[in-house]
Amino acid sequence: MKQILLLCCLSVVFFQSYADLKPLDDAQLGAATGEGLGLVLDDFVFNVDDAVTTLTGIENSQGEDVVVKWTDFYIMGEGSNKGSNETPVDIGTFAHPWTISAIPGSDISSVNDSLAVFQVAAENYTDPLNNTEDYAGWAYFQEQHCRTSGVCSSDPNNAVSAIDAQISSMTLERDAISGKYGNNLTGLNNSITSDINNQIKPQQTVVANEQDDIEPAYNTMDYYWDRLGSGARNDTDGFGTKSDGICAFWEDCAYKSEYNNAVDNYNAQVSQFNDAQRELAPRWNEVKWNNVSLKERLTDLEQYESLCGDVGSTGGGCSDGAIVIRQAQRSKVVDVALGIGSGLTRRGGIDIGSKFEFDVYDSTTGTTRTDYLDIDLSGVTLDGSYIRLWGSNGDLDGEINLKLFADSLSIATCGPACSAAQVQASTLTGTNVFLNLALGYGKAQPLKFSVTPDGQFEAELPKLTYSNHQDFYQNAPKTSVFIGNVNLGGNNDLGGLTIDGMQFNYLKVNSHDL
Amino acid sequence: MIYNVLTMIGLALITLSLPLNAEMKPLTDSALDNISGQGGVYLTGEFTINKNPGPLWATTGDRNCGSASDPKVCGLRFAVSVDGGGSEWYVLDDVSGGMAFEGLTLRTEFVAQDEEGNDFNKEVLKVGLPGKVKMTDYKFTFAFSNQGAWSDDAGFRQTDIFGIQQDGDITLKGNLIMFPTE
Repeated sequence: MKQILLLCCLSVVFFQSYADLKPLDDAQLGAATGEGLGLVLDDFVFNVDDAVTTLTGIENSQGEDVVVKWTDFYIMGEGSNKGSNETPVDIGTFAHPWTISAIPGSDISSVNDSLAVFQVAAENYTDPLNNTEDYAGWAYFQEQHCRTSGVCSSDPNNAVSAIDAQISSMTLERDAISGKYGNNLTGLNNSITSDINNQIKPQQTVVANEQDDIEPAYNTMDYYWDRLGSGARNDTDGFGTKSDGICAFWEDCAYKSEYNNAVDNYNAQVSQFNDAQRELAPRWNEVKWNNVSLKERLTDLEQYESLCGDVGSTGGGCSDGAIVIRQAQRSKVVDVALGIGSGLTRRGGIDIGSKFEFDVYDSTTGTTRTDYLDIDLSGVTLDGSYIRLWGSNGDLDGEINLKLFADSLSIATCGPACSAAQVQASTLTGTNVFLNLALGYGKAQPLKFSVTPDGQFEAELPKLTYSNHQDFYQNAPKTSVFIGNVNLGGNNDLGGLTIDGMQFNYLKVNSHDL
Repeated sequence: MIYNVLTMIGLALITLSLPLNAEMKPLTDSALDNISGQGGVYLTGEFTINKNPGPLWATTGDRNCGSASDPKVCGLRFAVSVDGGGSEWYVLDDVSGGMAFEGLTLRTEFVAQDEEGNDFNKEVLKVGLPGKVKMTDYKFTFAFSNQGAWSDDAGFRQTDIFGIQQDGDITLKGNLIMFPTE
C-alpha cells in the first residue's frame, strides 16, 4: 500500500516537473496495467469566506491595476443555499471513486499506441439516474415538456411524453416524404443522380465553356484598346464601348475596326454565357420525376437522410440518422423516468460558487466604482469527466472531456447593498444546465499545450488530415450545451438553449499582452 | 532551479519527519499489549515560503518583485515544462507567505464493504483535513515563460496571467481517502 502511494506521488511530482512522457517499450508496457490511485473526499467543505483573497495582474485601459477581490469561493454539498449553510459533500465514493492513473495508450481507442497516458478521471456511474449524461438528457426533455405544453408537474414521465412527441413528429415527416414517392426512396435517390448527370452536369459544362470564352475575348479587346489611335478613342464612351463616330483623315485612327470587332465579340461571349446560365437555372425546376421537380426532390432527400441516414447505404430504410439517435436516447429517458417513478433518488451534487468585487475606474466621471459578480452552481455532478495527458515528440498532448450538470446556475451582478428584490431582478438563472465539453481526440487531434518563444500561452487543436478525418467524424466525442430554461429577473422565462453535436475542426487559443 | 525547489521541498519533508523518527526502540510484549492498532498521526504544522526574505535573489541588483521605489525579494518559482525541458514553461512564480493548520490527521482504516454493500476489503489511507487553514500573506503568480529559471537575459520572456494574494482563515473540512484501484 505504502509503495503504491509513494509511486503515485513520485509520478505526479515528476510529471509536474518535466511532463516529458515517453513511449514505453513492450517490456515496460507489460508492467502498466491501468492500476491507479482512488480518491474520495468524504464530508468535504471548502470555503474561503473568512480570508481576504485578492486577484492581481489585471489592468484597465490606462494600465492601472484593477483591484479584484475574490470575496467568496466555496465547495459544499447540495442544499448549502449558495454557500451560506455549511453542508458537507461526498465527492466520489468507495464504489465510484475519482482516480489518478497511468494507463497504457493501447487501452484507449483514440490513442491506440504504446504510450503511457496519465489520466485523472471523475467517478463513473452506469445506472441512468446517476449517470450525468443520461440524467441531463431526461432533465432537458422534462423541461421541454414544461415549455411546449405548459404542463410543468413533477411527473417524471413528462420527459418521455416530450421525447415521444419529438420522435412522432420526426416519424410523421419521414412518412410524408416516403409516401410522396410511393415509399421508393432508392428510386428517388437514383432519379436525382440520373437527372443531375443527364440534365444538370452537361449544361454546367456548357456554362463553364462559355465562361472560359469570355477572358480571351476581353484580353483581345484590351489589347486593341491599348493600341487604338487617339482620334478613334475620342469617338468611344470609354473602354468596352465601340468607336462609332467618323474618324477624319488627319486623326490617328489605328486599329479602329479591330477594336470594334473585339468589342462585338466580347459582348457576344458575355451574352452566350448569360443564355447558358439562364438555361441551367430552370432545369432544377423543370426536370421532373413523379411530377416533382429536381430541386424539391433534392430538399426532400436531404431531409429524409438527416432523419433516417444515407439512402445509398441503408437502402431506403431508417437504420441510421436522427430518429434512431432519438430512439436510443428515449430508452435512457425512460430508464431515468422509471427510476424516479419508483422512488429512487439521484445522489446529492456539489454546490460551487464564487463572488468577486471589481474596483473599476470610470474615466467619464473620474471616480472609482465597485462592480459585483456572483456566480453559483448548485447540485453539480461531474461523473464521466476526464483529463488525459501524454508526451509526443517532446510536446505535451492531451484530451479533456468535461461533463458538468448543474440543477441550477445563477449569475448575479448586484452587490451587498441591494435589496432581495433588486438582487432577483438582476439575476440570470439557468436550470438543468449541462455542459459536455470535448477538446482533443487521441492522436488524430490531440489538444496541444505549448508556450510561444515570447512567453505567451498557446493551446491548439490541429487541423484534421485526410487519413484521420473519417475516424474523427465517426468516433470523436462531441461538444454540447443544454440549458433547460433561462430566466432573467425571476419573471422572464427566455426558453431553452441547445448546442448539440459540435466538433472543432481547428482551434487555436493564444494569450496576448494588451 | 527546479532541482533547488525539489531539494527544498525534500528537506522540508525530512525536517518534518525527523521528530517522528527520533529514538525508535523495540517494544516489549507488555508494552505491545497496550497497543490497539488504531490511532494514527495528528499533525500540526506551519510552513512559510520566502516570507522573510528567502535564499533566492536576496542580494541587491538581483530580481525585484516589488516596484523600483519599493523593492521586494521574490518568492519561490516553480516551473513545469510542456516540451521536455525546452523553451515552453508553465510557471507558478513568486510563491511566498505562510500557511498554518492544526489537526491534520493521518490514519489507515480497513473497509470491508463499499457504500453499495459490495465487498471492498481494502486498507485505505484517510487524511483528516484540519478544519481551518490560516493563510498569512500567501501569494503566487501564474505565468507562462520561455525559460524555466528566471533570468535577466535579453531573450527571457514571461507573461503573467494573474496573481492571487490571500490572508485569513480558510475552511477545509472532511477526509481525503486514498486507496489503490484495479
